[in-house]
Amino acid sequence: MTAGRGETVSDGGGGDAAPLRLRGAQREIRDAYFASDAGLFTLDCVPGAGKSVVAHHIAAEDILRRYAAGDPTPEQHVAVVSFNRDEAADIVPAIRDRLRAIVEHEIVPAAADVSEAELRYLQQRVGQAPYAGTIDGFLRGIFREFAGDIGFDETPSVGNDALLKRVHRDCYESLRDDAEHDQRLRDLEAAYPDGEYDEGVGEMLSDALTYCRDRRLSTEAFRSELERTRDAAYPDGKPDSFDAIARSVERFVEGGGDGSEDGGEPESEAGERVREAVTGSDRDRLLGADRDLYDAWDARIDDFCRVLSAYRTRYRDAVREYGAVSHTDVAYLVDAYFDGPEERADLSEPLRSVDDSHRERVLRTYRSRIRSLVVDEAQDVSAVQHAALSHVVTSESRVFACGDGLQGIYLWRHADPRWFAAATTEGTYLGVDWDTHENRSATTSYRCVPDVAAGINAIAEPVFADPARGDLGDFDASYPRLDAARDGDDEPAVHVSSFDGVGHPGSATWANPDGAVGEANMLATHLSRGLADGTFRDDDGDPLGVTVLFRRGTRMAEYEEAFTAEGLRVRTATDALFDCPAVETVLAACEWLIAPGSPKRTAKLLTESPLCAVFDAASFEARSWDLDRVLDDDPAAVGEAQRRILRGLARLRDRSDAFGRLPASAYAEEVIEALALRADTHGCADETDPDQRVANLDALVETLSEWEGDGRYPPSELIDLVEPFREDPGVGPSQPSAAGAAYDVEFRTVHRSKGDQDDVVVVADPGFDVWSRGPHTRRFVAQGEVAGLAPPTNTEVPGDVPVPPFDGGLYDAGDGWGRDAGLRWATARWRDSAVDSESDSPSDSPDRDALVGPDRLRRVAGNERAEAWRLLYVALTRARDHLVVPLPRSGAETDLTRDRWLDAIRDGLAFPRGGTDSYGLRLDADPNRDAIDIGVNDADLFARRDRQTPRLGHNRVAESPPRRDRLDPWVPRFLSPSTMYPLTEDADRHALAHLLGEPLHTETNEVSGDLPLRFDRLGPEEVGTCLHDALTGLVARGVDERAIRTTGSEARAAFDEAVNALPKSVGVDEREGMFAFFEAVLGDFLDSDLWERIADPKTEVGIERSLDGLVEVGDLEVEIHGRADFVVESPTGERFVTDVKIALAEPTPETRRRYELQIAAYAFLAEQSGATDASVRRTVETFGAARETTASSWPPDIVHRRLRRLLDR
Amino acid sequence: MTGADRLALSRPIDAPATTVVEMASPTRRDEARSAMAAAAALRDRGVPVRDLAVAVRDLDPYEEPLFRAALQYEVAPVFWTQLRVTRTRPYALVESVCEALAGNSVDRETLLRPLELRWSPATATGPDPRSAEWPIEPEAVHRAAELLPDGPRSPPEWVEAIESADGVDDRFRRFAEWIAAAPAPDPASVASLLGEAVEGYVDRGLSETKAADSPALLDTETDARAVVRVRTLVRQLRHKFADRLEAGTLERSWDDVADLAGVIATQRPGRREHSNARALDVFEANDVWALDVPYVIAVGLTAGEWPRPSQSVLPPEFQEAVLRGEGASGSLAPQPAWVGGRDRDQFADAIRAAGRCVVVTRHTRTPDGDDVARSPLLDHVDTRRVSEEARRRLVGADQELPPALREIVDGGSGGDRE
Repeated sequence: MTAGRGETVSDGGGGDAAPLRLRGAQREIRDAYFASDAGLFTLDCVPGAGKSVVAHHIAAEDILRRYAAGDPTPEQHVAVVSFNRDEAADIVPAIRDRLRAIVEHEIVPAAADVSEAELRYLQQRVGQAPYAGTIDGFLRGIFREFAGDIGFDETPSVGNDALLKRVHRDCYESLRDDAEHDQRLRDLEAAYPDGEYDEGVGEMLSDALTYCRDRRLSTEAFRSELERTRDAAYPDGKPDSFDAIARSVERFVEGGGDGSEDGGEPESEAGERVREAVTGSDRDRLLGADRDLYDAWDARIDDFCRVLSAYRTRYRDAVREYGAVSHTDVAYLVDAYFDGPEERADLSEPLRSVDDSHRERVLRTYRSRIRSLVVDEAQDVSAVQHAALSHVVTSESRVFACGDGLQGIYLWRHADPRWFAAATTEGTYLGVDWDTHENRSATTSYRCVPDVAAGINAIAEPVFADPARGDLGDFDASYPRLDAARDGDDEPAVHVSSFDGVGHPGSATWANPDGAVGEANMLATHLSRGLADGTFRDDDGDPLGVTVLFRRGTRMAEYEEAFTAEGLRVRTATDALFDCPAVETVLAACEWLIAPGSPKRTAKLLTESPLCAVFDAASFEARSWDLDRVLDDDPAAVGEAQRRILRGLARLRDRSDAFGRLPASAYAEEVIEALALRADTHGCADETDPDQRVANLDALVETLSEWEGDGRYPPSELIDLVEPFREDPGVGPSQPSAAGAAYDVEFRTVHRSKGDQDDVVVVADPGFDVWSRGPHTRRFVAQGEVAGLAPPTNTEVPGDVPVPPFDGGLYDAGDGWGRDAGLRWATARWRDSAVDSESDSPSDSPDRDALVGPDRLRRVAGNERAEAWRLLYVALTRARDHLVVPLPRSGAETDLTRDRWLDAIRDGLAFPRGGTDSYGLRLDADPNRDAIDIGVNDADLFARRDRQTPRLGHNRVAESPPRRDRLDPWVPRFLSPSTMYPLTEDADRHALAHLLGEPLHTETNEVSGDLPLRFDRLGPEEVGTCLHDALTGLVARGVDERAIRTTGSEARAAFDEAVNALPKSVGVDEREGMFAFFEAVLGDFLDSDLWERIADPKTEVGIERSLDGLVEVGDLEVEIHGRADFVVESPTGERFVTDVKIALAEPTPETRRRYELQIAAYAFLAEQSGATDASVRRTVETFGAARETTASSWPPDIVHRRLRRLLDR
Repeated sequence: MTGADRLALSRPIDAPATTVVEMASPTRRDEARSAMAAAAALRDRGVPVRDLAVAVRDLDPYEEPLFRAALQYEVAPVFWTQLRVTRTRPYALVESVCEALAGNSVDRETLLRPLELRWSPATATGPDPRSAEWPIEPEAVHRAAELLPDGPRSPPEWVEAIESADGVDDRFRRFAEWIAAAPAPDPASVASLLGEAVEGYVDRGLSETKAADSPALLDTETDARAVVRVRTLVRQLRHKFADRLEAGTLERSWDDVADLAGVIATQRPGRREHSNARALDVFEANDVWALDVPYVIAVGLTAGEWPRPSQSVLPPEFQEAVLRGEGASGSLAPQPAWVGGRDRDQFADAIRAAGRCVVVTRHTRTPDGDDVARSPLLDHVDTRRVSEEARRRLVGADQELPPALREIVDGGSGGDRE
């Protein structure tokens, strides 16, 4: 799916294409915006009207104008925010592109003042624009400015789900540990037990806290909301007679008046029916139960609010302790911080006592910075976001807001479209009643072709005009017909995939029945054949983009199966990440690693994780779950795959010491590697498609890394952190799509498609019940101003006493699949059907389309239903060229137009029952067309796709596991001439010493006992190195022969200096022994040619000269870094390169070879540097226990041969 | 840089006529695999590994994915970053010894931790250094953790507990005795005791790493680098501990020794050379400027990653005034980083470093599935884009080099810069 741009031409990126120009309402609102320095400018748009285009243009032009007027940092003064994350990511690139288009085409006068160089600079500055992105991101930036002032140690992480779950769990658990709250919590848990689809008390508290923060409510204000909802369910208060119950029934079923106060004659059919149904002692039983319910409800509200109050206090501390806050918290804290204690009596510490001057300064900075604010998707802004944004806006600001109330689909996330509605109609927004206020409505859609626009109008207009559907809620739903700006052709653009419905609409069988063609199968066939025969291809014959939109994820699996069977490549993001065998295996292994020696844990790992499929528990149990015993005792007991897994586990166990130091994301990778999970060669995660498995494991590691931030979770903490997600994967992240960029069809939920568009849009699974999972199934409702806690489920209610028309009687939370939970809570019943079901009276009363139930809860249910219809509208309006809907041919079902998208679409398109052929749809007063063709199954069913891109093999990572043993063996990259011999002789043996920078030992003869050396603290190696240093030090000091020969004070000083530099202190006796031996060395030295050359005043002596070079061997390079002890140059140009060795024993043949190679390496280096080698002599002089001069007979290219040997090993 | 030069910060990048091949992958990890698959495919077509380098703006989020991807495509990578010594076993061993010595009593996990980390008696005090007795096998340590009683005990009590526990062998007793016999911490005893632990590790722990390692010695090299660092650390510890004791800022306790070791260890020293001639170099972009190799793979070319938004605490208005050289601020030194200039320069360096070809990689979505925009820096260069199909072939079983790269490899010296 592509981001919606809704314009006619060009990608706005400059170049030769004609630039995009604003038109109609777009242009008018832009003109109005720039005509004033301050004010509110709103654009109320239909989908595809290009509101983001206008938003980005206004931002770009505003920046450009400011720049042209001399503002050096214009990007600091224009804030651009969107509710939608995908769109927010596009803001900066879009503004940059738009800037270029404006300047290159001189779309506005200010463009003429900006040179190309300045434009580029400005674009670069925009790249750093601090206030462009999501509203959450914008508020987060403000929050960072003062987080330290309100008790956060560092900038907390925002929106870290795992940490926030832990915060909530801690808050809950700490209340459980508190005697003051424990009993209340027990009572609440008994009243609202956890269930598969029911929230537990912990979640209810967490939701209530979020709601209070979103609505900026104190707990007391929240309590009165709950009480008002309870009062709405008991309009006469605690019932004192059966009549009071009957009056409630009358009122909830028939609406209107207060009922009879005098308990006299029944006034209505509903009342009459309940009086007929409940007689005699049942009336007293019912009354008694209702009175108990009333009291119990009251008590639970009290419990809930008291516990919530404490919960909020704990939460305040816990977020600071954990350094984690939610996005709602950020908005709440920004608002509360700026409000300050004077405005907000409800604020607690540390918000009460923040430094006023700092607050003023932050506020001043933001107000002076943000001169223009552009709000995209304004209908989705929540109350607390609106409040937080209000602080940075003053009546001097310029605000542009665009949105579409009919696309408001986030009520459930506390979005409040009324703010935007008030902005467009009344000119009040962000706390300012604007003097200058301009609103334009844009009904031209640049997105879809006329046929699609007409089709959408045909479906959506009756929906929004219907008081039982789009017009049901609080929100004004007047529908502006879409007017398509694009040209269309004669081919059908609206398509129906028609099929024989099997089973119940919305069910798995309906989507993909065994052995029959269901909704998903027909759609898949229609699409795949349509892609083959050209129906869904563009003018160039390229396949169009196809997006399949779902209201819910429930049926995506059946759809995916059907589509894949048709050969379509599907990109989808639906299943839970923590509900996949590969991820489960990783986490099970991490859990085991907490104590891998524990037989109990090993048993759990091998019997309860996906690994259990691979292992036979018996042979392990017999060996006390001891991995080594299983591996060693009876090799035949385990097959090859199992053995590899066991070895992997043993390797993990042996490395488990590392896992306390590494980030969880790193050791999770170790687990994945050890068990070869990405390629799944051992078959422990084979349920998953290979590419999906890789994508899931990648996502797991990324998610852990994101959760971890700079922290580090050893296995025990990791397991604690992910526990909620392992328990209920649905609350965790979703599996990513594995289709990469190569797919035919993308599956999305409608919510995730907001702001996007695609060439072909399919509205999938339209047969679900709009009312399912409505407020009647919930224990806690919170929407707009209404909050309610359902009655407790554990009071005695006489199940045998009916309270018609309520299936749930007085109150029965039931299983959540019915249309009501009884008289005292919300319902999904229509008034007419409630009445019809009991009598034959006509159902054409004016209120037939009202819902049954207490007024506040009817409002909640009504708003939710209206939102479900807006969601349908959002889905339909994502289409550019083709709209495809599946409709059943069967017509036996009752008409459920008010309750299902399916019926609304069928009615809107006037699809005939039994329809199998394309047909014409006549339209009344549509701005696009008088009639459109509807294509029914209009693709050549025999067409086969000649796939342009043949199916590619899987990613290698999905098929073969990483094999470290296949890496080429280590080859030293840096060598020294003196160690080249041993290293090239036996690299494996000497690698460690080489890596440690330690001497490389070659075989030596025993040190003679005759020497005066004691080796108390020092070994022979250290003695040799020390005396070598003393000797070179002596030469460096320029000591003369006589001083050396008499081992006078200078010689002694050089010796002492070398000994003192040793890391170990040496005792007197050892030291003196060494000195005695040193004297012997000096004797040899003075008698050598080397000394003669050094002492010759005509020579130039260099000490410890670097000799470096590079050897290329095969395709490798090895650097040689050497150092020659002495380089003596005579006036004739003759050079002597000499290295000195101090021998404590007679050299072995190996030592001599080592010296030979060292000399050859010097020669090689000289050759490398291009020196003429004729006049260079190279020797190694050995002094001490032996006296030798080694002059190499080896050719320099032996270096190559030796290194080659390393490579070939 | 002068004020007027600020416009130069956004001038088109003046890069030689090197071919730039652009490869987009869905996620960061896919991107890392694409990059390493490209390196491997180039190597397999005869490009010497030393003719390849990978450059990343910031290795933090990329090191792990690149490392895993490299293993997948059978490339040994080396990352030219500072060693995170606190994450290494030799360091953890030193720390765990201090912890086992701290206070009057320790719990079972703390006591056993040094053994988990392959503590061995130093050669000088222990038996034959080549004895197979040490270090204690991990499975025996894990088993002991199950067999020994829980709860804190003093070292002598631990000696007793070990003696009376069934199935816990004598080596545990010897270790507990070593702990019990440890002197009070003073500069000399700290250095000798911890030095002993480190040398014990050098003698016997390190070879365990090597024995379990791959032929490319990836772990061994890290372990050896860590040993070198920890040896230095223990030497420094002696002096710094003495200084701090004298200054009265530390207590004479093993706890404080551990803290001090932590402080020294996190003062990261410079990079150390990597020792494997066959390894692929992975650099951070700020190290690329002096580089001259035929093929550079520049990773992470997404908006927000490279360039990264400026983190300066100075107000942007002030920064811009300095950049413009206005007023009193004119005498201050402007920072190109304020407008992304440094990132831009480093990108230009990466391009210039390449003699024949730059492969730029990026990813297109976050782990949450949100879109990630292309880096605006790529607007400065003409790129040849690798199709998704060609990328899939590259990361697939056959590791087929994308046509754009194949042409360059096969094209002899045609792509050379002057």
